[in-house]
Amino acid sequence: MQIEHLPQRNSTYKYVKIRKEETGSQADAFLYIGGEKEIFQELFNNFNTGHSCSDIPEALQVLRQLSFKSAVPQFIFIDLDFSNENLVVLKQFLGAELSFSQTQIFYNIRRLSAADKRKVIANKMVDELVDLKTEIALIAGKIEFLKKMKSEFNARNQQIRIETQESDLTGRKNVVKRAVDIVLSGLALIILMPVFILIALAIKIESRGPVFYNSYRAGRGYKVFKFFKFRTMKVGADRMINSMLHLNKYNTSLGPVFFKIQNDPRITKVGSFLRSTGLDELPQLYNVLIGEMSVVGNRPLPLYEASTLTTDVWAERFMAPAGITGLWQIMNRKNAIVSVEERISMDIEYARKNNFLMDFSIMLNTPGVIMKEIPVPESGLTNFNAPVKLQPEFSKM
Amino acid sequence: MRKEILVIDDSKAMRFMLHTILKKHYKVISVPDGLSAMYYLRNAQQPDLIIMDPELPDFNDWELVKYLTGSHLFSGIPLMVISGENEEDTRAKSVNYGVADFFLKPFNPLRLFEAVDNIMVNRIAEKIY
Repeated sequence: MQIEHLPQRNSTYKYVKIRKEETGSQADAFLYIGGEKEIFQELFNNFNTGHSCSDIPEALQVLRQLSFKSAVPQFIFIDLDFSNENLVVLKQFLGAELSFSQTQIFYNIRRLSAADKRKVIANKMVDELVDLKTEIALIAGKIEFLKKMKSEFNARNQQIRIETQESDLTGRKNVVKRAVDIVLSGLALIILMPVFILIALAIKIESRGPVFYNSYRAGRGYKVFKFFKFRTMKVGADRMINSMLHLNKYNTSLGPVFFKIQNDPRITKVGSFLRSTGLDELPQLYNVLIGEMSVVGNRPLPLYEASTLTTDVWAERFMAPAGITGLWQIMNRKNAIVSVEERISMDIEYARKNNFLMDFSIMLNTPGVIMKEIPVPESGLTNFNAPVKLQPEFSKM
Repeated sequence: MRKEILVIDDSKAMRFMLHTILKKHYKVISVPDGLSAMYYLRNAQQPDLIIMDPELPDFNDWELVKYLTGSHLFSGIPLMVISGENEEDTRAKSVNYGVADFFLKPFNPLRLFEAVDNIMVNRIAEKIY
């Protein structure tokens, strides 16, 4: 059974409003339909007022009388062998009278076969199933819950929110961003093709191994994708991480894991040049073209970093797409080491603002950041005592 | 027919993430609070799995988990919890209320996907045998 209030495919989220209906129901009054005196007595002990009747026709009469007296029961307990027809008759009767709109039907689960039970649940025929032999003590708790639900419902002006697809959560303003991404990355890929070829040759000549480095990264909404770069390290570099953890620039004892070290010995000469010019990031234009990334966004995180950020506070960074450049890269130029918290809060700031003007200004600022990063040539690795110049990073590993 | 998952979490980012992770294999419906969840459960077809934060703005301290697992109407739906509490409390409450599986924040979404798959497979097995 589907209901018409639920959002259609092409709609954004909907608030469903339901008319608050007048009700003459009497607090904690019940009607028991069945033949077990003991159960009725026990229910009676749990409620203020109650009536009992033996079958559905009699129940309808009683309900009619109670309705005249504006003493409608809030709960109807049915303790009869299951009959689809009877239940339908009762529901139709209740549905026709506005004053019964808040009345809830509890059915004794002992009276239902497994097939009946499935049918009752699937067709939403009752408000609750209870075992009237053993669970009467629990009924108070359930009723408490249902009452709280009802009062919440009234207090919040019956605002219900149901999201059936991602765009219900993000809106549709991303269409423009996507279009810009396709045009920019497409053009750039064509124009830069000669550069790509030269870099590929340089990488191949210097060290054994593939031209591209790829790793799985988490992008927008933690969508995992294959992320491409030119290879700047020796083959097998990822496996060296564990033996190098003590060199990590980030203090990881407090939570999120980020890994970064200075003067990384795994980097090749061509790699070092590519990194300092930002050219190693160019293959990501392909990720942008196929929609896994955006030109501007948050850094796509390796999975071991990303899985430490799935908390209520930090997960918001994943609301923005993964980007080649982003707010953090722009802000990062002043100090080489930005704390993990600062970095994530910048990501979150971007995710909240995320508009075209901001993207445009980040794009304009990006070349400047890369220029500043070109390092002063160092005199080689022999002088270990010389102060190490900290280099700002541009979205590196 | 795609299996359907109802996600109940007040964090928009969490709901978005679960949509993204699960949508390829499942139909995902999400709601931000307990009231919307109950509205959906009472009016639409029952989902095949519920993934929820036990701490909701309108029903805190596992109140909704307790109701859903204790009600004969909904106890047939496996329920998975993503909890912000510590492991000890989460485990104790999960056992107490008969929760199918639980995760602690921060969690690895890929593991969660695996766990969801597992529950779905078990559900199919239950139906057949």
